[in-house]
Amino acid sequence: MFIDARKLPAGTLLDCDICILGAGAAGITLARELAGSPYKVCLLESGGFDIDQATQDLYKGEIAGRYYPPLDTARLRFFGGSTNHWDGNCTPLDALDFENRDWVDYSGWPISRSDVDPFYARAQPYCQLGPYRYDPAYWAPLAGGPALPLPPEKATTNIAQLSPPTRFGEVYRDDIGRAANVTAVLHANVLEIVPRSDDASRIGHVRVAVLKGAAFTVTGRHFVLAMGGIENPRQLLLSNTSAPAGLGNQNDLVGRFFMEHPVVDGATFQPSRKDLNLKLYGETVFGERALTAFLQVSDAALRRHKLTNMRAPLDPTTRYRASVGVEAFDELADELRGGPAPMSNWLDVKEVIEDFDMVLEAGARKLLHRHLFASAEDDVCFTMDTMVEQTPNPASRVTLAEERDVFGQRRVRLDWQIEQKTEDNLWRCFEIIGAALGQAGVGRLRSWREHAVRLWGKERLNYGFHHMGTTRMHQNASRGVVDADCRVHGLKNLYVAGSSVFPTGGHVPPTLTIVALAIRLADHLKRIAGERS
Amino acid sequence: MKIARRSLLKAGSGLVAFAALGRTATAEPASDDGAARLVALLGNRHAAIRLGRRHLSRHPEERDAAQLAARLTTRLAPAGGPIRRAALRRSLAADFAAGRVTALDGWILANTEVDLCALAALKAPGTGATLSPPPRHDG
Ligand SMILES: Cc1cc2nc3c(=O)[nH]c(=O)nc-3n(C[C@H](O)[C@H](O)[C@H](O)COP(=O)(O)OP(=O)(O)OC[C@H]3O[C@@H](n4cnc5c(N)ncnc54)[C@H](O)[C@@H]3O)c2cc1C
Repeated sequence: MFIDARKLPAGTLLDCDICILGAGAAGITLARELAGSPYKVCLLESGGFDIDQATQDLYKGEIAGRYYPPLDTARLRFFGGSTNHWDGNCTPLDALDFENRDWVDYSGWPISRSDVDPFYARAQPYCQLGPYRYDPAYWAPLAGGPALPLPPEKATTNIAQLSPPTRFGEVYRDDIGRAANVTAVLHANVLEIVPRSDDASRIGHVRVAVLKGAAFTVTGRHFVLAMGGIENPRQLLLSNTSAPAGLGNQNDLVGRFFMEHPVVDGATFQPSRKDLNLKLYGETVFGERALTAFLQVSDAALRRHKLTNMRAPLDPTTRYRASVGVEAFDELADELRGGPAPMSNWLDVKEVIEDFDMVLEAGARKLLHRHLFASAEDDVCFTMDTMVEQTPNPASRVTLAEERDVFGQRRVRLDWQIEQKTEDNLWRCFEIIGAALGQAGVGRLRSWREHAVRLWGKERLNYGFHHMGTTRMHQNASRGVVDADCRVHGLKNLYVAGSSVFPTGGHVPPTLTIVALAIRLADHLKRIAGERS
Repeated sequence: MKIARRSLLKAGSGLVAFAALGRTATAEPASDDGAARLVALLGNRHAAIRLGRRHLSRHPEERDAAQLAARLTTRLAPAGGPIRRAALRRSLAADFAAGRVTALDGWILANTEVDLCALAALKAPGTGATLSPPPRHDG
């Protein structure tokens, strides 16, 4: 059942067994898993069924330190959350990502890949994906081409399944609406999670405000915070009536370790043969689904060289971008400007002449903002827009800003920081993949390390819009905000769902893991709610 | 995300050059001159010359064509006889497997192909004029 909070009378008190705060991928999965259970579930969502500017405005925040896109564009605040604009790229985390890697500070999940495997399998249909198979050999016949024969001690191929992408708010709206035990309250903005006055280790209720309506209260036995990787810590920090530093923040960990997946256009791959079969690395469509493959440094090489993870997809690029004539022209121009010029002029001139159509093309694009030659768009090589694992860094963090939103709540402030070792790891990974490609005799890799400053800078760096790490999972309360069950340390009935619980993020877009962990949490809640009733 | 014009030019640079280098020549080398036969293994001499010059400008001590040719011949035809493309392929794979790899202009290359590029550069007309003088050997 759906309720519009704007129509609730002042002073309304809703009561439930399990109260879910936020209806994105995590919250909707939880509610759907709990549908049909004997427990009364309340799903509180800030937005309605569509985007609304005033609600979206609540997501505005301050960017401190490294550039990041405005926070009200990096996520969406209505039913379905950021899955209303996600891309649907899904892969499970690697087994190594869960491990305590002695070369990666703060690494190590308290659970392993095999603990999560059964939940990944159940998460696949949620994201409208195919079978829980990520081995390239399984998909190669469908794609019409094998994985590259890379030496396994250096590099491997991995699969990404591509969700349609599932708009959780649309696809599961009817299921939620039909579930007799689930009440989804729209336009309900949670302001504070409040512990019981007689027992500070238990949450008693949440205070909820409505943009054009009256405030109300929801009481419950269990609460799950599922507002996304930036809002989850904000909400804990704002909930400071009984704990001045914020809930779960007794060790000053809430909001720290913010991680993204920087996407760096850091290398190109030049196949050695035009007819090299790279179909697996293109997009293979099957029904409404699709998949693609990417290269990564193998588990063995990551361990041996003590590196963090990354993924390098192969995106065909055009003759124009790959033009040697344009390069030669560029170098001639450098020489004329008196810049460093190790090359002989005649060779550059010859190449400019030989590739003159592409040089003209470059001129036309620059001067006229238009293309001259259709052939400029012919594919000749592959760029590698590489998704990079960030090393966990306590200084990279979400805090509260001084500015306030319309409810008088302090806005969020993001200070995203990337450690130099994250960058260094990437360049080393390219060297390893380059050697693997060469060893396999399939081509060569060119790393753009010499352009590192620009590639990691504001103009060129891209983002996954994956917000991770801010309520990290650790069995030890002094090192994590939640335990292995995603329960906030020190609180008996408050849980966190979403990528904020990830201690490390691998190279993997987070949503499949978010959904898997939400299913796991739903099972846990069913168990413990059952025990108590 | 908008890519700055100049970075776009740079980002594309050299790829076609290498395409021809990576594809080693299809015909077996026929020349009598040892160095020329080695250079003929390259699919695109221009590309190789570019890279070779870059390498030599960083390593002027390598500017010795005879030494490079001898090194390559030992590697590619240790028992003497003709130099075959298959031997080059094997040598490249062995270099990559053993980590005998050089990053040249960003390309991750086997040392054998870097030597070939350097040799091509030394054999190309006009190279001498563009490189700094060779190091002096005093003894
Ligand atoms: C452009 C883009 C592309 C992406 N592509 C991919 C991809 O290809 N693969 C991938 O795995 N991930 C991708 N993501 C990330 C993905 O969207 C998120 O991982 C996912 O949506 C997170 O789910 P969540 O439920 O934790 O949070 P969200 O989806 O953000 O949901 C949080 C919900 O909480 C609600 N809420 C917030 N504050 C309050 C409050 N105070 N009271 C009540 N409700 C509140 C919000 O309205 C929202 O509905 C992408 C993201 C973006 C922006």
